[in-house]
Amino acid sequence: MKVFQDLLETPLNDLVEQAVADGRIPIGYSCSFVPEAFLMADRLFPVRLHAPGVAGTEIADIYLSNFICTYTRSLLEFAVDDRFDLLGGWVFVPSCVHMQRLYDNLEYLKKPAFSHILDVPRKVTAATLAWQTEELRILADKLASHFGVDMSHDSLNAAIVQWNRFAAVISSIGELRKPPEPLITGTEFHRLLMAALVSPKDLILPKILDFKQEIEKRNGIGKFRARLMVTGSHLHDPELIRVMESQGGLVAADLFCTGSIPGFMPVDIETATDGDPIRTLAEHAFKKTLCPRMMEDFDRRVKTIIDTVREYRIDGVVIEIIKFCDLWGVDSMPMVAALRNEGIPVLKLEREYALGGEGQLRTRVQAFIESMGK
Amino acid sequence: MTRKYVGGCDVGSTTGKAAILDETGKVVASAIVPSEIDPEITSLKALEQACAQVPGLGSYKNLARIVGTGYGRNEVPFANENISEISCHAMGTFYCNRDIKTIVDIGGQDVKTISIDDDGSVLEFAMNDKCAAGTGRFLEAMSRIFRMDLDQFSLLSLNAVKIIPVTAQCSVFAESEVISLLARKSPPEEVAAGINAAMAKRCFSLLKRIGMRPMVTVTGGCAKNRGLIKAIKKSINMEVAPLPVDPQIIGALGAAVFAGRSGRG
Amino acid sequence: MKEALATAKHAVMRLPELATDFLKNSIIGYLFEAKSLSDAVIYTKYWILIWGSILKFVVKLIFKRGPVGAFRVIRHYPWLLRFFSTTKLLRRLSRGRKGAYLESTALIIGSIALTLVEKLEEVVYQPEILLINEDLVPPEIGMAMGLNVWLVEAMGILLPLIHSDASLNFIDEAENAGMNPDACSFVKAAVGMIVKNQQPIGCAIVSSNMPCDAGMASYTYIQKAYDVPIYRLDAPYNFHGERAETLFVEDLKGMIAFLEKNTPGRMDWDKLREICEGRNRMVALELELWDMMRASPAPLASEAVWLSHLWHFYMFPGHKEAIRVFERLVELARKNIDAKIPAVENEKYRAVLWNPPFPQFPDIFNMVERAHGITLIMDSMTYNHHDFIDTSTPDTMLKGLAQIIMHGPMVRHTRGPAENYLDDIFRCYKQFDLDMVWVANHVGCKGGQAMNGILREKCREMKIPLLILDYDLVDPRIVSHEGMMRQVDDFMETVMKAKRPAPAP
Repeated sequence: MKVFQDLLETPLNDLVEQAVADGRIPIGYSCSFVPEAFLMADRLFPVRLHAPGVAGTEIADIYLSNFICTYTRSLLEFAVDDRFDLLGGWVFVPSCVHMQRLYDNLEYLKKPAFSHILDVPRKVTAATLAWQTEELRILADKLASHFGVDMSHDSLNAAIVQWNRFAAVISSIGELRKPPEPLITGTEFHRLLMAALVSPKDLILPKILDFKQEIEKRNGIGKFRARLMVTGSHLHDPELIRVMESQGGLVAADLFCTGSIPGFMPVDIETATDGDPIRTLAEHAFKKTLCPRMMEDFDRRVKTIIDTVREYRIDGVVIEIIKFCDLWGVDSMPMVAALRNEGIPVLKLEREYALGGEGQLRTRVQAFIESMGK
Repeated sequence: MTRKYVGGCDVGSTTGKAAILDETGKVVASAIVPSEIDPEITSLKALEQACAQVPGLGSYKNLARIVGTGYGRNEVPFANENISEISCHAMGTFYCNRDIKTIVDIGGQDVKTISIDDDGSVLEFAMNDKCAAGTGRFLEAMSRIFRMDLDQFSLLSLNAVKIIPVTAQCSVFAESEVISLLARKSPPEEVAAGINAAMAKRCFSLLKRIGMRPMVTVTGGCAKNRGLIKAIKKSINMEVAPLPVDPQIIGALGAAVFAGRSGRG
Repeated sequence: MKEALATAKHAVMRLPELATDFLKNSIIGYLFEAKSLSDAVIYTKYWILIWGSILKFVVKLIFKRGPVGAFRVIRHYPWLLRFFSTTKLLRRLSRGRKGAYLESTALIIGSIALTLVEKLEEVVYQPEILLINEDLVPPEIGMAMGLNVWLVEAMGILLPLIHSDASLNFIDEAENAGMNPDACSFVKAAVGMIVKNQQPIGCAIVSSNMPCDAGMASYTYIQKAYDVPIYRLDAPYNFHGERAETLFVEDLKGMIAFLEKNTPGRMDWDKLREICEGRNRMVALELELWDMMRASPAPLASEAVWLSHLWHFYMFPGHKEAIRVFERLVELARKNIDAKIPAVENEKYRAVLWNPPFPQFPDIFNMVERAHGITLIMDSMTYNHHDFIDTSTPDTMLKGLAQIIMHGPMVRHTRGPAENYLDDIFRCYKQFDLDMVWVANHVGCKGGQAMNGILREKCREMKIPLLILDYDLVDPRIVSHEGMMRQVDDFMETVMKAKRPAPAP
């Protein structure tokens, strides 16, 4: 576990440095609608943008203002501070207006050699799927032209195979959370997953496999008062989960766009190989990513949460939202009502990107667990 | 046979409170002390003061069980258990009056609203613990502007015929606004009524979030402000149920009730 | 008893204050202050028109629904009572204005009253063909399908214009129902009205991803509350070019197919042509007006620019009344140009306002005219640059509408690179020979907030005086009107080196 913790200490960790030294190209990305497998073609590898240990966003506040999500402000702060200088390029999505403005301000302040905004539509129809496919194709051409990398169908198919292998391992570890006596805590799983997103997949996979072997030998992880599910804004710091679990609530499941429900379903390699891997990746991104930016996905998200609650024997759901996030903030209004209608206890929490107000968080989580009679 | 007593200790940021129940569940002692920097010292002082009121009890060490609550609850090593102040306020209120279903707790530095079930457990809650506006700190600051203590200030607005609204959302800016109003010779009782109305409105907003069901009560130190209670009544358009004990000790009382339920060693 | 006597005494003591207030805001007060007989006649004419519209609605309601039915309508939509204060709005906004400029202000408010009554009658008497549109969804399509289009957010703009506190209850209601308090108050007000069941339900909804996340996300709640079918338009981020137009036109076709399936509406392409041609006429007139606005001093200003566009283009495109308003505005502007009469007597500064104008404090433009000689020449909701709609075929019409939306205000400013936002400001600045840029820095508009840093630096480079005015779109509690004026006064004194105006008596 310490190995994963260490990999999360810096925005671009040792494994990234090692890969760069080997001539590979890290591409920073901020949104789950960018298919990771796509960025694993040839010498490229994806690095999920994060800002660990961000202590303040004074410079970013000047440009982005204090009313913008602290995730984007933290990224801008780190970027201005040259903490992402090893990156070969950036790929954004207009996930929300905060992300769009991060892109605008990054372009203005840093003028990166390669940055691209992938225009992912907000609903899924035949026309928007075609659009998304075309958007990925445009990006593929740009990457090939700028970096001299092979973005051909064969190259992408090879990347898909590699990603599927990685995804299968993560999914199998995620399954270990399901039983009444799980073998892994929510904190451990989140830490592992976040470390995996910020590292080259091939370099971190052996460490993940070692960890899997280790935990499969466990007898258990101790007693918890309640089983919780967490959903909501982009969560990089596993400490939030740790604080929740310190109050006796095991985080047995989660619905994050980066998480394993349903996020690590394999890409259909047969369709990719027989047809167009770019289109297959576009379809896959829409299928596996549940996010309130998608206008027509609310019912699917609610259903997934409800099904997960039943499947994982969840006692209560925690919705955590980064302050100033309109997508989650507004969406949570009908979400809380829908879950409560199903008899599912819900706690809604507001947070910043970096963990703060630990005492206040503990009080809320403890009271929530107590209110469930646990 | 030695009588068995249990204790609850609520370690807040402004005051520490303690309550002691006997084996029949009756409140036999309570205490309120100003908070020290060290929550352990605060809790000790509160408990010792309460224990001193019970003949034959002696020290807190003779209590069969102690439950800690409040922001400093994790720093009370001699507590057998710690329970959130939300659950404790719910239980303390339920102990006093089972008909009360909604609580507004206005503390020194936070405001909470709690909806209680028929068995005293928490149904829903909402908190404002990130901003001093609408808390005891806010009232303290306001009373200083009026050159009054809290007791005097609490009665001032009762004489107001009309309310002069205080619109600033931040307590710092609200201070400036109040000073300006008084400098313009606005009647102090009407300004005080405006302050209470602003606080009542915040409470109302938090109450609506959890669903307000009668009966409603107010706990915490600010519940002793009669002007504020009047403003809250008006804002929620409901009566505010009085409590048979000092509203400031409700959290400690709830903790003591939990202590009693957990077993008397 | 004691309290009742004290209250009665207090009411009597307030009588002089109430009387002064009444005189200040009533037509009687205006007639005493009118600068000329012709001004008095113009004002009275539109005063009568406004009251006539209101009374027409009320009488028709009582006649068609009976007194009990009328009461039920008012109980369902209590905000209707706010419109009894419409003439107060006229009074506030016309202060200090005269001649053609006065008439332009009165014309627009009168026209709003007239067309609002028409719209409200659609809501009350024809609910079965009422289509609920989000604010940037093109109403032309619903109108051409024989549906009555209701913009959920329209009252969020109109009510605070009349009374700045009008949306507060709704905002609080939305927050209490769980909406994040930092969301745009415009969206909160719309949602709050629905929470309180004070919006009409309609037979279907068309929403979109425009202009922002909060607006888009709110329609999940709205659809669940209404339980009617919904279609969502999705304007692409990369909206330039043929590819984007093709995608969006497909989307508009999808909208039409949805409406034909789920409502009594049927697309009448001839009617759409008529509406588009009417809209084109409005655009042509507006361009003519803008040409005249380039003159210094400007012949008209303020509401003649922003309110005329906001109400008529977004609510009544192609409507004969809207066309009439723009024809008259052009006439009035020409009248002033020919007679060399400025709108603002002592025009010293010309300004553009970026981001939606201040619905809860429209008086600010009138006040800064008189206090500082600032003329509001243009604003971002009005300023746009697109071609006329080619009405030859259905496809060309849809393409034209697609371009208008995607390249239109707020949509283009929240999509594509930042240049879409910035270049428009500087282009407008040059085009209208302006002296300053104001940004209506609505605290809930994250897209706007996050551009201020870059804008400040660019304006500094180009030596363009920039005022970033902090406020909330429809919630005056966030920054008071005094606070807003103080920001203007401070800017004028420190940046523009203007003398601070004497405090009002």
